[in-house]
Amino acid sequence: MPIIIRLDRVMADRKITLTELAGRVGITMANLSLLKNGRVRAIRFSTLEGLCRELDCQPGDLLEYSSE
Amino acid sequence: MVQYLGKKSVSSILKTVLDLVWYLGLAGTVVAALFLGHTLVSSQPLSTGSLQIEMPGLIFRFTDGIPQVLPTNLSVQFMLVLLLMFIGVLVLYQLRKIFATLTAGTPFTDENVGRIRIIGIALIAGALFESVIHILNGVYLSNILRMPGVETGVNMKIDLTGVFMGVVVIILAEVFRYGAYLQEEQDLTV
Repeated sequence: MPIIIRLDRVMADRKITLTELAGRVGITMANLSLLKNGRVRAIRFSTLEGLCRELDCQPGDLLEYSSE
Repeated sequence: MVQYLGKKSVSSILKTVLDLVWYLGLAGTVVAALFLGHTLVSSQPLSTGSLQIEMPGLIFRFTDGIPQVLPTNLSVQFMLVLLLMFIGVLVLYQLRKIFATLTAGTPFTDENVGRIRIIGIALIAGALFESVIHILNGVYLSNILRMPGVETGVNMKIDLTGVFMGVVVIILAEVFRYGAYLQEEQDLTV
């Protein structure tokens, strides 16, 4: 898929674990893990909003488009 | 409030009932197959001392027996009835699987689409086989029944209601296919 999830990079920068972020955003760790590994088909605005809020970033920091 | 899906629901009770009916149907089919096998292998004329033929709204009881009835006369009908029983058992098996998913709370799966489709095809096949059995029974009975002043004829009627039901079930399978697609989309959305 040309959309690449950069969640792992932002999480490493913020030094936050998957469990902690999942708890703060209010989604399951399993779902967050799927998102981190790019195994999802869609992301809700509410989830994106929660991630941006907790990671103090913009949606563009989490998502990247690659034509290849 | 009545709970229709999940554990301890209407679907779980129906699943238990279907399990019971399936095992009984399976046993009945095996017994019928053994009876058919015995009838076909045996060269003796079929005992008609207690022969009874049931038709919709009418029962024929041959109390004096019919000497000219031989096993081969009814073998085609027996085989078709057996085939009909196999179709019934197949439908029951698929229904059991579907109700198991209803009890588990995951009805919208590609497997269920296939199962509902099989049920639809089986309903059409069953309706057609049943019509053929009725026609063959009509041919058979019109040949052996002689009543003064009464002319017997064969009623060549196909059960279109059963065929229609089968088509409706196949269309429902397509609705389920869309449901399974939506379920997958929902599951892959975080």
